[in-house]
Amino acid sequence: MTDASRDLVQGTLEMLVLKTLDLEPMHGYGIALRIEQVSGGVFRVNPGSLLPALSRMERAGRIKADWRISENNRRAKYYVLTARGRKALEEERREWDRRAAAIGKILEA
Amino acid sequence: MFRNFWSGMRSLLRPGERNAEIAAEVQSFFEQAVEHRVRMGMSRADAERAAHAEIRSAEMVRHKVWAAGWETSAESLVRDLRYSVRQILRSPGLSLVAIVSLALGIGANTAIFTVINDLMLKQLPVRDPQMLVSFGDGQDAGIMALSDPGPYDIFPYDFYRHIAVDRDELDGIAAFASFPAQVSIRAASAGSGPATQAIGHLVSGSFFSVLGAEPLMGRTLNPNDTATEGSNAVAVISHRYWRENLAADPGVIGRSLAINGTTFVVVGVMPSSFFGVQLNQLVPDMWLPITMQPQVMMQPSLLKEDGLFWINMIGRRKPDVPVAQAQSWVTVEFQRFLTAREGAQISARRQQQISGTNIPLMPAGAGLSHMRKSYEGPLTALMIMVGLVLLIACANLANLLLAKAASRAREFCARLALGSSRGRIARQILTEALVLALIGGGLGLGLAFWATRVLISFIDQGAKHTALSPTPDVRVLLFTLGTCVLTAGLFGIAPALRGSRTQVAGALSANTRTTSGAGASAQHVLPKALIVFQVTLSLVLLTVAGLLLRTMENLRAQDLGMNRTNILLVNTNPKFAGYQPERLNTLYDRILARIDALPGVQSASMSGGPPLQRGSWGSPIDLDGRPTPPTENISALLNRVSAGYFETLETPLLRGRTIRAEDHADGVKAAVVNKTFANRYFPSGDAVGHSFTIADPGAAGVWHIVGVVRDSKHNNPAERPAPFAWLATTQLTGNDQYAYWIEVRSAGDPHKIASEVRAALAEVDANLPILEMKTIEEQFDSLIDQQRFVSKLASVFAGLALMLACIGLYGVMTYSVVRRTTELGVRMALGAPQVGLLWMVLRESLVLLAIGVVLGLPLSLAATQAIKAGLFGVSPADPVTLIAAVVVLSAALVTGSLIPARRATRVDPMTALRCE
Repeated sequence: MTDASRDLVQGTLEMLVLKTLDLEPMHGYGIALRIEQVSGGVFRVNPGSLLPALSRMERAGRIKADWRISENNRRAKYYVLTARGRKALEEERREWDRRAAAIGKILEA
Repeated sequence: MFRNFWSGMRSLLRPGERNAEIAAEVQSFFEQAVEHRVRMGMSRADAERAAHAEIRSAEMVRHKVWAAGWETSAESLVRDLRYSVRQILRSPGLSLVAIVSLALGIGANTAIFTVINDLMLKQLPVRDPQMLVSFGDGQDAGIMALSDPGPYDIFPYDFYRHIAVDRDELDGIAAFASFPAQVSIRAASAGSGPATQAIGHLVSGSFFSVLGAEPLMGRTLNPNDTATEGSNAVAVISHRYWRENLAADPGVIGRSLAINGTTFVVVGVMPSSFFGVQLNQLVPDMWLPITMQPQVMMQPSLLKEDGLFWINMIGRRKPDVPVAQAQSWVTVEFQRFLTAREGAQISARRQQQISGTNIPLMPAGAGLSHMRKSYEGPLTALMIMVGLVLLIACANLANLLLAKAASRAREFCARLALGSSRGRIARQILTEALVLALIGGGLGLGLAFWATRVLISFIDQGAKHTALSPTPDVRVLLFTLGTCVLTAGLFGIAPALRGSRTQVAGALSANTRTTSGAGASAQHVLPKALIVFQVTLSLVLLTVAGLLLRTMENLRAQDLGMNRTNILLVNTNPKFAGYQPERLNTLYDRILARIDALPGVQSASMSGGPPLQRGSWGSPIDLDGRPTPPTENISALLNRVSAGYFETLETPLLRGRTIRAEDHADGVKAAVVNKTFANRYFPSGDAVGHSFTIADPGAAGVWHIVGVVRDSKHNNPAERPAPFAWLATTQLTGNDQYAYWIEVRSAGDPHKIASEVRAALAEVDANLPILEMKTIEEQFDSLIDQQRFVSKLASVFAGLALMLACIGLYGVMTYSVVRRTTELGVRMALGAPQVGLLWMVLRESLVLLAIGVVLGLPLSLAATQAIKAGLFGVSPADPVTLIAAVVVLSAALVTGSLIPARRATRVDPMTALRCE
């Protein structure tokens, strides 16, 4: 279901990335892999969406990047969550919960 | 946000670095994907293939990352700009026509807007001008004795003194003369020597502080300076006067000037941007304390209790006091003041009149101006007209760019095929339009500067210096920029849409020589629709211009009641030469004798006011000793004249006699009246023999009517006749005995005798200043200046519109003929006569013309209805003007389309049919 990744609205993708980086710093492929694994294959993020999103978030100051050597001895760009990013994650998390609850109420009614 | 900006700038300036980084990241992603799969157990080759499939196009990913930042838009904008410039240079002829049309259109708009800005929008260069309010609209000027109910804007001096002490409702009130005074200046050091004239404005001591104007040097007036009448002879001078007449003397503070014989001390110089509180043709050279009025105006004091109404007032609002509250306070105070004036006994009717008076407080941030009031309407109409001209120019440009876009169809197809979005193409075309508009606008700005100077000199009637400035300020520049952008949008939208909708299939093929290209009919409707649009607007402009021109002609052709050829008017002022009333009669005799003796002079006379002028002296009168009942309004306009006045003007005498030399100071007071006066006040029988008394105390005594003359015009050619009486100058006394104008009828051109008259006056008394010298035609022109202004400009704009419409039609027709070359060639080869081909092409343009006229007629009628107030002697629906406009329009357009039509007949069938 490679098309499912397109269902991820840009904002939701950013929230998932922030959450992923909340656990530990990662490079781009690692983030994509983690999201796919944790969601059980429901969300597959392709680099055409992920890398631009990472660039935007870096510009916005939510994540910081630097080049390191990865576990297989290759250079990779690692991303780290900043304080601003952590705050953004909390806000978006709250907003998401609010929306999900509202949708739930409508569906139950 | 800063971080965003900086990284964007870095990417723009070092694209290589950024690209390398992005490529590295994408590459690393790929490698990570491969390694991951290898660890999962795939072979390296399979892993690589899978990773490729996941990433799909690395190029596209890189592009997307790059596009995530704002610098892509900036970069593509720069690219578009450079490409646009290249495109513009590629077709120099078309671009030149476009730029010139834009320069004319935008320049004209900017010029009119600059004048509108100066006259109507600009605020005074003082502190917080938006808090200034004027008492009434400040349109009344002069010296009056008023009693009617209604809004007031002119007041006596003691009302100002009465109200100025209270600072509860308004934060300061200032008073100033409603008209400037011309004064005679001598530098006090030189006892004698030539006197110059300057314009002085009498103001209260609070004037500068209420306005919030700071001096450049020295100090401004303060309330002490106007505490007592006749003392504190100080002056604050304007920057221009200091520069030009006092040689920018740095030690000017403390210098003395002899103003009308009284010594004044200069205490301050104002900055160059300050011109006072009135925006009119005369700009004050100096501001003088209002308590020096008798010396400055050389008239009896107007400052007494129960004085006449001659002052305008302004106030500064308090931020926490609403305008309505201040206004009702002012009105109540005024009513109390008027009631107190009446004294102990006050009639019920008078009480009612007083309670009907009020003082509206109006925003005065832009100063008070008579010019504004008279030019408001014309300028608004002209702004709309010049906007229409710009629209016509835009239609032309749209057609030009449409044709150009059509010829670039192949380029667009190639770009679309290579992956460009349609929006990108549209954006590029719009950018090209914007670049053209900005270039044209830049040139237009320069054009506007020159044009504004011409407009201002017209409005100012050649005054030597003016408060109106041709230099564009921020508001004008923003307006020009906005016009450029709007214009670009208007004429760029159609080509942009057309270009972006290029169909890929078909246009790329080599052979495009068919009689109708792909998407034929829709493509060709738009240029024609634009032509129809131009024709419609041109008709409207032509009709309006035609009506205004006819109004001008009608005004010029009005019978003024005098023979207005060959009369020279000379304005002088015996007060400046120090004449007291007792010596005036002999002076007048000497002047008239000397001038009469000149060869080339048929007759001469003198008068208090010139035969034609804007304002008038007037007064209520009582007839035959009967007091006028309060319900009736019996009044007359007045002028004082010497013997020979009516003979010089050649105003026909209907009954009795004119003023003669025999009417001397001790004799029976003689007056001549006009026909309206006689008919209205003495309808049965002869007015000659009756008498009247004048309420104005300066013309006391019983005046006997000795003659009746034909009605003439006095203030403007369109006026209805009003009762007018001429008094003999010799029989008046005091201030009213002064005559300021000499009328000279010359045998030939009045300009020729000007220098002789000047010499003759100098012979009589070298001190008599010649303030002005003009022919009566020039004086008449000054009465109808705004009609001349608007009719001239309207014709210019209509002509411009017509020219643009013709160019447009020519372009579209030419293009159409070129497109139809094959068809025309076939027809000729098959034996069609030349005339038939000519008619075929002409018919196209005639149809467009007809549709445009049909649409334009109702629009023209609506437009002329809107300017009805400015017309004289023609009805808004005047058929002759409409027909003339249609004829002119048709003639021009048919001429414009004849050339392409003749080209059609010259098509060589062989070349036409040959394949490309």
